[in-house]
Amino acid sequence: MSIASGHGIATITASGVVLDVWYPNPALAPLSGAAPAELNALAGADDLRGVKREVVSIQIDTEAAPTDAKDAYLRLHLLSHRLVKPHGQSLDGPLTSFSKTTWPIS
Amino acid sequence: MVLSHRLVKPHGQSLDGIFGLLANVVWTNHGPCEVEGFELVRAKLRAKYGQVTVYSVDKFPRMVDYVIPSGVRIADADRVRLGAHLASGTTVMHEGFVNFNAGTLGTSMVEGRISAGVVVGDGSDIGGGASIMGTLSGGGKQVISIGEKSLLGANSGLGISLGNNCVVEAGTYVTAAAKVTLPDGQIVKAAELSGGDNLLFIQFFIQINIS
Repeated sequence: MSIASGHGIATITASGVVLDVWYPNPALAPLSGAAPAELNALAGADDLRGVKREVVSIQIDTEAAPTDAKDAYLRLHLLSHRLVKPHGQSLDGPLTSFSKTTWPIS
Repeated sequence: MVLSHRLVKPHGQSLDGIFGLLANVVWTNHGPCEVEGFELVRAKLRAKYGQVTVYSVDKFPRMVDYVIPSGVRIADADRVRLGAHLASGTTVMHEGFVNFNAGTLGTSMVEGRISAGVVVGDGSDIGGGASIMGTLSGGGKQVISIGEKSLLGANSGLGISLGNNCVVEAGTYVTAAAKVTLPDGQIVKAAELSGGDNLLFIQFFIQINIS
């Protein structure tokens, strides 16, 4: 279990599809406090685009698979905020060190 | 708070099934819009604001519209997706690209493409137009990483992992199945060299005279 959380602002269509979520300050910690006033001030309807902006406050387990778009957006923010590393595979295989030399491809 | 972000030791996380959870979105200078019915929305936005610029139609937005990590230069904002991990000391020039769940761990000059899942170590550079094979298409499962102080030359390509202090010569594409002649004459598949340190990959050109 590895906890991450954040307060954000989501853009949601009339049919309920989440287009994006911006989390200005994501954390590797349980959710704490209320959403900041600056985020609450962004909430409301945008009739031109046919969307509403809604404050989101979520806490997730990053070891489990993401469950919805709000969760997925928090994980993307964790990466770009450098709170988590991209997961690559560890280097396996017996060859770990070679002398400095030239290995041409024929 | 930004500082505290950098003090936390990074670890991995699950992104299983993330594509299915994200909607395809029209990213505009007036914010994200639904794809369906967008022309009507465009008309309304034009009536109110005049020009409407569409940056992309995609599942992922540009990173810099959501996060600006410290110590990083990005010459063309369109080339870095949200979910990219750019360490302090990274420069992504116009020809460089960084996908989500991929990126750098230290000082890097990125002028080629870092595909999803690929991690580039401190002091390694990705030359102009270089290609690093990813796992999103083509059925490949092997996630590629590059160690420290290595170089992908301009227009080179990489289908295996590199360790530290490696060089792939400009223009050389090292696929996993590429046959490599070792200094002792032995020929091996490049995959067998995956992750090795101190390797220099150069290409042989053999002239054939056709009479």
